[in-house]
Amino acid sequence: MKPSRFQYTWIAIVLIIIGSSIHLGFNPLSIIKDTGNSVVIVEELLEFDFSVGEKVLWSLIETLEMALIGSSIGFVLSIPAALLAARNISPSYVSAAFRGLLGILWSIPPLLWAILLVVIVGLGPTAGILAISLYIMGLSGKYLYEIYESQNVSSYDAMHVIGATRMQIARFVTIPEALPHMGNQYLFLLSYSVRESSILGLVGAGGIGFYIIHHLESLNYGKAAPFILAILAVTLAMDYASTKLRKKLVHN
Amino acid sequence: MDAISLSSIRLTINEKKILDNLTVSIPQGNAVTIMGPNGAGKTTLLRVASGLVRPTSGEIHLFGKKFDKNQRLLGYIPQNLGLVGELDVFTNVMMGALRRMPRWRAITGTYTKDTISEAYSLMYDLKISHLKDTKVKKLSGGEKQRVAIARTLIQKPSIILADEMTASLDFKAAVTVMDIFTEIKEKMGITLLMTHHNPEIAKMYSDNVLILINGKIEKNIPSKEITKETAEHLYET
Repeated sequence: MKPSRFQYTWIAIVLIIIGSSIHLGFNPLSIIKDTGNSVVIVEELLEFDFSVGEKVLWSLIETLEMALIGSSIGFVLSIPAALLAARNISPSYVSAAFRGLLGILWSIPPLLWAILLVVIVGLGPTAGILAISLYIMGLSGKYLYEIYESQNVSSYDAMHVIGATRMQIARFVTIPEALPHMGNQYLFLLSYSVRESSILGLVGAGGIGFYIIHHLESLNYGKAAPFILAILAVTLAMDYASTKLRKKLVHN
Repeated sequence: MDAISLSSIRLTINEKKILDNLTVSIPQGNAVTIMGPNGAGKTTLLRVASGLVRPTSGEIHLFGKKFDKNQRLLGYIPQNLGLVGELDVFTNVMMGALRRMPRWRAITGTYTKDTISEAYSLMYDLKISHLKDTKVKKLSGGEKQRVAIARTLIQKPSIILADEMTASLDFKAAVTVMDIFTEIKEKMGITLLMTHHNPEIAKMYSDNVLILINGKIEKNIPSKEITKETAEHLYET
């Protein structure tokens, strides 16, 4: 029996994956082959050195603050940016420009933004906060303009016949109808930002990641362990809390 | 005098004729219902008459003057009513008055005493005063219809275009809404062009019925001539 087009597609995908692995010299078995190293690292990580306890606490607070400020700034800026990017609200040339802007902000990962911003504003949490803000503005803006564009057309029709201006339509239709989604989205972005903030320290943009990379590079795995554990605990807690809160929002 | 007249309206989309050389005039104060099978062009005709869709050719006149969006003569109740479910009844009603307010008032939501009392009086007439603080998404179908009517009436339009405004209601609820609406409409001397699926409603609340088939007006008859058989034949087409 001749394979269908669907089967051909899957065969092609599998071949591409195998080809890419060979090209990169990727061998999944190497993790088992080099068990010696893995065991040493795990053993040392398990020797938790809690002498860094105070630093864990303060760097964790810094990470959470960075996530809170960064995601809030990004989210707030994304609301008007998405209005300008939505095709059903803005003139086509304005929406094209803002879709492009949000696309750029979103396509550069936070870590890369952080590297660029450390060069511009220097080491420390300011670079991290700005990196999170820019990325979240792009990510949230893209979500939001899709929400705006999928809203009930008849509300817009009614407003057009009433003679409402674009700003009035945004104020009375677009934003109120999007509000329940926005609450959900903000909580999701906040928990996402905590995860992202925790690695920005790797490039000197503040937060707990700085200590993790510092201790790992100086082979102090036992000192790195409490920081990693703290991030793991906070990320899981944030994820749990935001899922619960989002469910509550949906029910209301 | 004709409140609204459509002359030789044609609308072609992707070479498909949606409205085909359509001419109709409605005298001031009259109520006219457009009936026809699904896809006949009823909603499109109302969208053209409201200025939401520009016809390929033809002209629209309101009270003898060429159609201009700034005339503020039209009120429009779209098929799904076009209400904002997340806002309360009062705000939805006030949205109809946006055009009459200074922009800063409309944006900040600080309405004048006169506009507020107009809204209260309309909500009272339409028996929705007690719901003024309720979110529209929590209302029943009949209550939503009344909010949509209040929002349109506060515009002070001379002509109202209403698309299947009682579609989601059972006959009894539809009659209740239409009774209240007709009473206010007559008091304000409003001209009404609407679409309905129910021939009984069309007969009770309109002077004339336009039968629209494939974008063409097949018949323009007094509503009392509409029979159940006419309607059944119409929806079999």
